[in-house]
Amino acid sequence: MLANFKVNVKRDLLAPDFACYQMDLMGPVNSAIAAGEVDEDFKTLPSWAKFAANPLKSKGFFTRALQGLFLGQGGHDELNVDLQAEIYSRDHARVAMMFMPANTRNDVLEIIGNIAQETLPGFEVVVLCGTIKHNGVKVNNRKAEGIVKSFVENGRPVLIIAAQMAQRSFSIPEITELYLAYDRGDNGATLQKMSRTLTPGKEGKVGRIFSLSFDPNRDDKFDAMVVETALNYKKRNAGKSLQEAMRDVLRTIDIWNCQPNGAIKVDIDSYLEYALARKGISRVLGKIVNINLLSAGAITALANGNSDYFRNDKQDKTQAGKTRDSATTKKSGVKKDHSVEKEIAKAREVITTIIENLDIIILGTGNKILKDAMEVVENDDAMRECVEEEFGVSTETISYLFKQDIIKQDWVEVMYDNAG
Amino acid sequence: MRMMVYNHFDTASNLQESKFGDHFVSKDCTYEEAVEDTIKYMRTQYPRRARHFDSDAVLKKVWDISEFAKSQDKFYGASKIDDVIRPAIGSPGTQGKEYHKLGFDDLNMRVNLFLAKQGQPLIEAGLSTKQYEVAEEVVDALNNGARCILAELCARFGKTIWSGAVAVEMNVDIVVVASYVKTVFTSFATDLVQFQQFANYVHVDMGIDGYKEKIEHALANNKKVFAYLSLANGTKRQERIDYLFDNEHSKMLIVDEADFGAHQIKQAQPLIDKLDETVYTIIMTGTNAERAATHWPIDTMVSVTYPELLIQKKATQNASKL
Repeated sequence: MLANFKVNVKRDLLAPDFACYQMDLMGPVNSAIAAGEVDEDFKTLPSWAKFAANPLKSKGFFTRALQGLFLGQGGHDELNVDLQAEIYSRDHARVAMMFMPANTRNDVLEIIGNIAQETLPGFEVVVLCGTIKHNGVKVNNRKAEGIVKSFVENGRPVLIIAAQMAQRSFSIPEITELYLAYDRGDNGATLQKMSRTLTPGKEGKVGRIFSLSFDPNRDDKFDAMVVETALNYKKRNAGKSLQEAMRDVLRTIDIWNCQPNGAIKVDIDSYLEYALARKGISRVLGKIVNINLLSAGAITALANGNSDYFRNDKQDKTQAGKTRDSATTKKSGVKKDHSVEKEIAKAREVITTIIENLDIIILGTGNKILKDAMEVVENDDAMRECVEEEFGVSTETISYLFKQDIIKQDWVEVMYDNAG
Repeated sequence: MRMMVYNHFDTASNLQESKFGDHFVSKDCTYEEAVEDTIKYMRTQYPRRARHFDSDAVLKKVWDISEFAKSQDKFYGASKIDDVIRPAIGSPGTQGKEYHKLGFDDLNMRVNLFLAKQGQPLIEAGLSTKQYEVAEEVVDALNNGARCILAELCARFGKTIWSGAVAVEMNVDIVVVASYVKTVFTSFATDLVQFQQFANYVHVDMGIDGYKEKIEHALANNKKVFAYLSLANGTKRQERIDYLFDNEHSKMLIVDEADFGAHQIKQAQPLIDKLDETVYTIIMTGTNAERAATHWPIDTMVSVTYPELLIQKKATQNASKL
């Protein structure tokens, strides 16, 4: 119990509700292809990266997508936001924000802004990047919020377009629509971007997040949020399995699948099935592995594929939880430190690969208890060889990660009890 | 009856001035009713622009200063108690004596600091359920031997007040708030000074000349200190770090926006070198916890995601229906 602070439940109510919408862009893509408005490359395998490389080459697709989203035109009702979100009226002019791929160049972002402005003449399109001036003021992270506020106060609908800028410390209460116009992307950056629509505004505000995807079944932008929430929720609700926690979380987060006749709420079982199929869950689990549980020696060995380290008992003598000892005591400058960071990243990659391919062990042995499954593998030469070949690391390494609880038993449960 | 003072700031005005005035509420009422009454009074200062006043474009802040007014024998209508406080605000504006050429947050901070000095009770900071739970968890961990906590706390969690609350609970003399993002410091100072639990703290920007005198004066007068340390690599950074950590006082280090700049070895290492069993550390970030933690000897981690805030919101709404 805290000595100086009490709970004020009114503060619980301040967080605006939010809803996530999964949108399929193939409608406008196919229309643009039929009209000969996109180049061969984009036509073969459309992606946001290709669009951002040269937006003029696939301008037809983008204008059609914007018309569908903001004007309900072009016969692409699966993108018609008012229809999908059932918005019948607004109490203030529409304020939306769209994040393009993070590596979009400033000059390209300006072109995208120009296309959007031509397509949506009723909107003020505000591009946020370092090469642009608004009302004589050069845009930077510090000034972005003030600049956008001045446009919002004019009372016209506003579409903000950004890539890198305005991801944090950018609070515009009127933003109620947030568009993620990129494929994949870093989990942390995606969460920061999503948060731009969560600034408290008028009472009853709902922040709507739209993931614009060319292949919604493979789109994992919402997975990190769901998995991390479930892990936290489980921690505070000890009696629940991770699977139950995920189901509880999915009951709270509204994820909608946008269809021509309106949005359909994503059913929990289908969500889990698709998330597992696209390896979204295992990727997130790999990202959140507590690498601090490993000693510095174990990280180096993992990163460099040194299986001998895990075969002998050397690791037992190294103190776990002091991962950064070797890095922090050296005064060797930046080069050395970057190598430590790279090693940690590489070790994390190895662990993620193991998690992603756990089915080889779990389904191969028919045993869902990790430690038992590994015992079976280690006692069967053929299986052992197969696992080492598939994973690229020794079975001792994998066993070590299980024993140290780096890869947790309950993760297996959520991944394999849900497999369809 | 209550004596109230208020600040309002019209963000749409080119003059960028805050108005500070007083209002005496002559009926018996609660604090909330007095605030409502004061806002109604402020609204009369926007004749024919009431909608503009009601919009988010006009920022508003109200204080109950009844105790202070009584101590000054000015607990009555038209007593001009605002003019007693005005010299502490300074920066006169151009639209009349009640206006100050100051931003909204700046004026609030100056009034809060003045009231805290006068012993006028400020409002009590309450924590949301989630903030309280996580603060309890961290305080328990620190009391049980953990020294370095990684806190991944989502947008809208309220990291500033939360970490301030943990510092108050740990009762340390010096709280060092370190960040690569300078706006963090303004956010801390303006948020914390409004609450009673932080009334005994002095806020010191380590970037100003005379920071040593300010800190020493505060500690000598039984005050505690929030010291704001920029992690930008300037010539005096190491000297400031040495000053803050090489002393006998109890300390807490809060690294805010730890995944932004502060995760790099050049920024983290000088602080890590100062950590020992006596320093409590919170590495705080909204996202990218793994990046934020790269160089820190983390003992335990707490994490809250946005959907958890909504789960709590729904639980609170349901409980209030019962």
